[in-house]
Amino acid sequence: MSAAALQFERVTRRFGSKTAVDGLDLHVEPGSILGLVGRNGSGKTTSLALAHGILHADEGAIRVLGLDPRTDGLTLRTRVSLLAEESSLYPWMTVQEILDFGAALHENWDAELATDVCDRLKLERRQRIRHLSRGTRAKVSLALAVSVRPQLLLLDDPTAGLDPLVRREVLQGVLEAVSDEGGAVVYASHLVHDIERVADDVVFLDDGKKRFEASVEHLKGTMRRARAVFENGAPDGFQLDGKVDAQTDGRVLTVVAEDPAQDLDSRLRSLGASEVEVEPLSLEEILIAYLRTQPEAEVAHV
Amino acid sequence: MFRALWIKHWVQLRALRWVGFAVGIALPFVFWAGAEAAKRGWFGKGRSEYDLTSLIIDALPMGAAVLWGLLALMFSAQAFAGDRADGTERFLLDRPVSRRRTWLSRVLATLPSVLVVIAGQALYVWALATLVHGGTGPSIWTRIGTPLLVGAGLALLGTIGGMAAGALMRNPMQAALVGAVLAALPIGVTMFFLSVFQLAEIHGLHLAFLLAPILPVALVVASYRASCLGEPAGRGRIQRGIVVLVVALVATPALFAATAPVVMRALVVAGWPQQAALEADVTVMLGGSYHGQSGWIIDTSSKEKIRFLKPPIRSTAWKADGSMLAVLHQAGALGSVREVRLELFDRDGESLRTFPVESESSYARGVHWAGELVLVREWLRVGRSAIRVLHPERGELGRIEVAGEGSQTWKLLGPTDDGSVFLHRFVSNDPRTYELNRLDLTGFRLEEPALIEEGGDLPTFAAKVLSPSGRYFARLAYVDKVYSSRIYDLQEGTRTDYPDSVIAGWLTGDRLLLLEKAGDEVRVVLRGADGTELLSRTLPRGVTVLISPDGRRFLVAQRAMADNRSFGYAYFGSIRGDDLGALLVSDGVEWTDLQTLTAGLDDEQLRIVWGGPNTLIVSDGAASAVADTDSGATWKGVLGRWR
Repeated sequence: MSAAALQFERVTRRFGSKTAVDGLDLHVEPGSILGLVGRNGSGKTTSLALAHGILHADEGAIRVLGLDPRTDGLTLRTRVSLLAEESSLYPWMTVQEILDFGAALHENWDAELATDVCDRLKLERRQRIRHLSRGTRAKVSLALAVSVRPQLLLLDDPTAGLDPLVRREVLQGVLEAVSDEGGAVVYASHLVHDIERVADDVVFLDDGKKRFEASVEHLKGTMRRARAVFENGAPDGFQLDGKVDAQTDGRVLTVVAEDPAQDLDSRLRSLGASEVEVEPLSLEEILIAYLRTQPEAEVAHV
Repeated sequence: MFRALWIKHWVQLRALRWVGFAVGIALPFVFWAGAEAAKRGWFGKGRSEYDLTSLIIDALPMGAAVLWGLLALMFSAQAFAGDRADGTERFLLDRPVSRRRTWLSRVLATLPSVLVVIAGQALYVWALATLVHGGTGPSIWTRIGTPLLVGAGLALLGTIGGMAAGALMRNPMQAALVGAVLAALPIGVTMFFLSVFQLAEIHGLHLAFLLAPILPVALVVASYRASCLGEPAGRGRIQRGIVVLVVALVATPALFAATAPVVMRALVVAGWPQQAALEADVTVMLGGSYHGQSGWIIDTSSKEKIRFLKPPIRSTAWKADGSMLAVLHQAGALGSVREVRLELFDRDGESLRTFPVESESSYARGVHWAGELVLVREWLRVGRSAIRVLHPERGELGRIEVAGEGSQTWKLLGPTDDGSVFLHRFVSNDPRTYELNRLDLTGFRLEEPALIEEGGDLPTFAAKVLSPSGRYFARLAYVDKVYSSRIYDLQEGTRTDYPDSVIAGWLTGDRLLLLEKAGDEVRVVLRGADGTELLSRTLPRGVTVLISPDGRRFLVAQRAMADNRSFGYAYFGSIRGDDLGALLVSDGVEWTDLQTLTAGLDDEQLRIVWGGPNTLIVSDGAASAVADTDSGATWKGVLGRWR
């Protein structure tokens, strides 16, 4: 059995009195994409930096591709790439120079792949980094990150602030790189739509803690929102299997619930609903429903 | 990979290199403009002329030296903090690049950048100097080379300071400022030690210079630890660097404090002329540097060191019975210098009492015992001299003021068997006149009239020119173009000349030891008080004689390179093996072959002195040993590593 691409066990990291990551457990299988969702300051960037060995955990254990980032950082970084939100590219270099520099620093550099990625992203190699737009810099960073054929790619909001077209291009690049090589991706972002598009699993972080963890496919396949109309008003304290959230507005009851058997309609009608309308939810809506009802101390596993 | 890293850092310093060249080129014009402005009175403090040649040859190299230090600071601050300030530090951290390689590539990009700039400017300064001076000779090289060498040193320190600060600070400007402080630390600490602990030196090299590399090395280590160890993102970076600096800052004075006493003690092994008690087995070995002697009190019977006497020591004197040692010194802690004091020690080395003996208008030159009293020779800075009379318990009793140019030409003689002390001094230059007076130690004056008032040279180099009873006085006289030993009978007022001879000194019973010329040879002659010959031995020329402190024995040594004068110490350096014609004469007028004492000592640098009534001390420059003259040639090392 091959080692997990990423394994966090009760990992905690503090910055002074602030706990940025608090007892976090994560597990990423090779070949999968984990979406790490959370507000700014929720611990996403810190988690990725811990996984990359740039930061060291105060407590807990981290294994990345079977390696300890604290002691095997150099080896780990030959197999793991991190694509960060803020560009750390040297502004005085040209695109070609920084690609050459990246190639000189990395034993796994694949020049063919780099050329291919640059062509697909339409990068002008003679331009200096300082003259590039933020989106183009993100593309350069992506080219640098994927040209080493990483077994684990850590993406720290690489598309934040980019226009939708560029975001799509970058995400497309990520997906292709990962799918070609069978590598794993941890994609941290507060843009749930992007996560929804590419992730296999999703973890929601809040204040350094894991608040929610689920398979995206399972969530989207089973979670439904139903709007039911009751002639005599919505019932109080009703029982409904798989219910996540319920809100009453006069005669209308809006329920978010798991519906693996696709029988939510009939179950609500058996409770006395005269009209029932069932619809799928976006990942963002599902997360909001869960987070509204989950006590902070608990982690929701779906 | 390393090449790529080096090129990246080298290219990043390109702009600074051009700035360095530009400032260097502009520097002479700035100096010239400043001098011209001063000449025209633009600075508001009058007009001052300048000379273009000295401006280029003297001022410009000094300006360049300071500039190099500043440029080096900026180079290393930029190299080590630039990426952090630009937000590009993560590029290398996120890649499989060893931080050690990154650090080393920064060092190896910074140093050549500094070197290139200073080499270019040095050539530029040299070319300008050649141009304005019309060629460069050795003196010009010295004038421009010395400040430029200092500049190279400042550049190295600046580089190191910038490296440390660059590893700690967030931007190059902060790093340059903090680096300047860090680079100044080694200079400041060294200057502090040099100025406060002046005498902590060994063989002319101050201890501060030996410890000076600690702080620069610590700065490099701090830079390395901050940059290369711990968490890559930098947690604990400042702490790791600061810890090294704090340790170095604590260790440097701690090492100084620990080693300064050892260093000062080590210098005494050379065994410079000692002060032995007249009648006891104690002696003082002195050694040290040009700036100040230190010493050991040695018990020559047990052959043990008793106490170390810190430098600087001006003068020492044992009480005749060896029960007390008077030391005139300025010793402070760890080689520092304090006010001049007279300190009395007992023979076990315990300090008994200290007297302040110098004021703003006086300078204490030497110390002397007169029975129970201690005499301190003083030069009063108003053109007079004095002898301060002190009692070990009652303190200062009085002062004998003496007219004269100063005490440098004095010689205090005695005490004689009855405790009298005499002053032999130069009183007039035209005609050249000396006087010999007895000191009145109760009336605090010189007894008049003078016992001798006569022209001539000072009384030989011999130590014992006054006979033990105080009746006879011997001095060198130049009579009819021949050096003669002139003996004064102070009681009868008569005098006797021994032509073609030099005085070796007086032994007990007022016996006189002379070295008389006998053709190409020398007669060592011992005469009784009435002038009769008690003993004589003819030896090849080049004889040195040394009388024991109690005046009962003397040492005769042959010295190949010496003339037939006697000296204050015997030096056996050029005599070895069978050529050693040295003899020991006992009180019973008996010759003893000294070779039995020096057997086994084959060092050519041996120096032998008396360490007590029957004790010899031998030193070879690195160690000293003691032997009892009555018990054969058993030398026991007391200082240094005696073989």
